Amino acid sequence: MSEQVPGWAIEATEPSALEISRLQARLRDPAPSRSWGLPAAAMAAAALVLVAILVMPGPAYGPAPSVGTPMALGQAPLLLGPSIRVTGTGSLIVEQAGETGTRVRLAQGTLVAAVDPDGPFRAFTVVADDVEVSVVGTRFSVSWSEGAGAVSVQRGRVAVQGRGERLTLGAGDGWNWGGDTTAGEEPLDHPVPGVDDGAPGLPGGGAHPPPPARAVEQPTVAPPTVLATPRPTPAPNVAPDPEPIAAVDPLPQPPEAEPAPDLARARAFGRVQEAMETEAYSDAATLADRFLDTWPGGALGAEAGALRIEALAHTDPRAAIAAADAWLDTYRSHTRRAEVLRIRAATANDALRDCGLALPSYLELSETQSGREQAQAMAFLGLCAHQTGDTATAQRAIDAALDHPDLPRPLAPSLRAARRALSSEAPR
Amino acid sequence: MKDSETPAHRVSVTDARERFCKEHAADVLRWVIRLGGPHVQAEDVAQDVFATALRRLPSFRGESSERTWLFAITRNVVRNAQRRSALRRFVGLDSVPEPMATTPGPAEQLDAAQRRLAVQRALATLKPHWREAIVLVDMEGFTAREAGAMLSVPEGTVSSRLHHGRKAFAAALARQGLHE
Repeated sequence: MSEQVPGWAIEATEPSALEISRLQARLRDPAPSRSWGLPAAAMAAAALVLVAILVMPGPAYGPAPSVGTPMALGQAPLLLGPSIRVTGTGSLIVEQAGETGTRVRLAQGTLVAAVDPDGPFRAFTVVADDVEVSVVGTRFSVSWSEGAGAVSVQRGRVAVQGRGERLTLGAGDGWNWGGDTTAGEEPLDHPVPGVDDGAPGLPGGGAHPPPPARAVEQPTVAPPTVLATPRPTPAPNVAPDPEPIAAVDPLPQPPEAEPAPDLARARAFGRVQEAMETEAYSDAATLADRFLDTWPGGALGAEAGALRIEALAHTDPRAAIAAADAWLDTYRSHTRRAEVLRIRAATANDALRDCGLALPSYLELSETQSGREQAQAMAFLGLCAHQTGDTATAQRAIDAALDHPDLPRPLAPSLRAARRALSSEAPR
Repeated sequence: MKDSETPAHRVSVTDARERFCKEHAADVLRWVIRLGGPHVQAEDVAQDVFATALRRLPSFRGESSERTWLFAITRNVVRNAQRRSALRRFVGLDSVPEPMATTPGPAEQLDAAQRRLAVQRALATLKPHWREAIVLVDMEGFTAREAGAMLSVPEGTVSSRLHHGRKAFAAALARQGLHE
């Protein structure tokens, strides 16, 4: 077998002149650019926020938060502007919000942040005690409780300043300060009153699994200690994600230190995410299993469960369906529910070729989603119901899909064919 | 009025942006097709790449070539798009027949489309690091040293990724019944 890339494969992936000119035309006149058809040019700030919400992966991000208002952290994501999503325990106060960046003070507890690296208004600073953690596009957590704090980075890089230190931490790195007592006294697993009840303005409240018992004894946190050597700052203009942060002096090799439970949990979760990012799905499933064995509930437990389902969909479709069913039973109003339903439907339909197994997922998606996704769900519900002999559901769903203004065009011929078949099958 | 607000300045900025887009459109689209796989909308993602690049262009310091800098942005935007696609996709759309092409030479066009899809599927089975090495060196014609600089890894690492990637790519093509 030849190991050279064949010439035809190179040619086949050359864009055609038509494709290039179409792209150039879109770049000259970006107004009707994206497939979801929202105007892009000359947008007001509000419209910019709306677009950002639609293009974000995962749960939606939100408008700018109110400055000075204390906010409870919980399992349901708190939306700090269009690019920043936080969960955790304890509470924070927004000190600054807007185009120049968002700055919050963590009064006590643990904050887990996800920042869209390409989103607008994404500069984000967390102040805990006298330590500032600044970030542009990453995933990280900060804990502060009773004189001890910890920063852990799961993805990207963050700049940390305080206690005479000025550091850049990379993915997998952590840093502690204080240390007279334990960091992160309040575990992430406990529901936060007012948030877990579905407080106004905080999406995704409602039923959550019961808080599991704390799994790990809290060790004493060492004095300011770097838990891992920060990665060197990459060469400028080579890796723009996240944006460059000023280079820092090399740090001494850290002594061995047992991480605080919250830090250990954040780092373990980071490893799951890292495996998913690199498409190492088998590793990701194993890491997620381990994570859930140790920390089965809470905000990160739900996230890890969802990642495990996604990983299993690539490696063990039947296990993915079982895991998805258990997750969907547990998290009935979670913001990732639609994602899990999509993965479940896709796994049943595509990997297992079992349309009947996919039906419940399509049904729920068709009832809960809107726009193109709703139209797709209706279409697949109709086609699957037809295939499994449920003619009444098939008829209803196919008619609804064909009448839907956002139905993807390639689906229409299959739906019309199914409708014709249903008509001819109907008793005369 | 500041210089940056004068009509002449606005015209020159617009010209520069148009030049930038025109010059790199084919490159970016090709990179997205090769790195992104069959499930991302190449033109949409390429447009996102330019949106990001134009936003960051004022801070581009010219310490690497414009093309190298743009490739790094493309790589990140494609990764985000792949993740979004994996989460948002209803698998099954691929199996729904597309409308027949009406432009001249439909059979030929269909063959080309099928070939592209096959290559994209084969590339998509590779580990991301192997895929990037193959795209940069074997398909884009960069040297291992240049690719190493673009990926922030040593030249030897690129060679190793190429070695494994080529084997895996050939096997992936063969699994689809495609040979040289």
